[in-house]
Amino acid sequence: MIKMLIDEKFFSKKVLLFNKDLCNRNQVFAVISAELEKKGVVKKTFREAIEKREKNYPTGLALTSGIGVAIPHTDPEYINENQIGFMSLEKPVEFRQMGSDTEVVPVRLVFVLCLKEAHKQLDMLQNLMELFGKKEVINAFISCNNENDFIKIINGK
Amino acid sequence: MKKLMIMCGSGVATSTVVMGKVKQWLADEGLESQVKLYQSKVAEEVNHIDDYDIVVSTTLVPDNIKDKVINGVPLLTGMGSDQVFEEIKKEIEA
Repeated sequence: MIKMLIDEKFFSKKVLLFNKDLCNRNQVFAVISAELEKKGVVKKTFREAIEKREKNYPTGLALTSGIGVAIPHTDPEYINENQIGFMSLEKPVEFRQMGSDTEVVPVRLVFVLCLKEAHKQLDMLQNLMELFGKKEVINAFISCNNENDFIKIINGK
Repeated sequence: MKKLMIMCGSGVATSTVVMGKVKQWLADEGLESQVKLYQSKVAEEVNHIDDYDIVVSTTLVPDNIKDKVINGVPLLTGMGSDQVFEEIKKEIEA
């Protein structure tokens, strides 16, 4: 396997939430925004901004593996430091498909991209997208239930 | 030289990924010298979309400019990216 798929520093604040049982998108945002705010990654205004952003520009992606992921993100002004928040969902939560106003994607994995200057994060973003194309990695994310295993996945182990 | 705009909601995240993919593809195809790349957010470009020859977007665009815009989402997931490159190529050669 390739080493260091995603730099660990993007997960240094350990905003990693496993197998959450939530009913809708806004619950997802409420839970993960609270965690990101608690760890100082985002500003207070983040939750509102990300909800609005997702409504206008949805980020759900249907993958070949049949599993949906979402990569919610918003403008740098709401972010204190570069970080990715992760949440896996016990049962799928509906997000809208990126670039569509009608299609919905049942999402099991959420990666909240908190980026201060995304154009400098090209490698990370590309690697993340690459990971999404690997069925075994997606399955590993879904079955993962602790921080250590999570870090192993992003390190390609 | 064709002007190719790549845009997303914020102009920083997914458009960055698409930009990387398109750059690589242009290099592989030997088309780099024929295309100038731009990157921005949808909201800033809707009113001067005609400044560009080719527009690729990962987010939804208003109906009035829909016809001009190529959906770039397949370039993110890799599913169906060949078709997107095909469309872009057609526009470059147009």
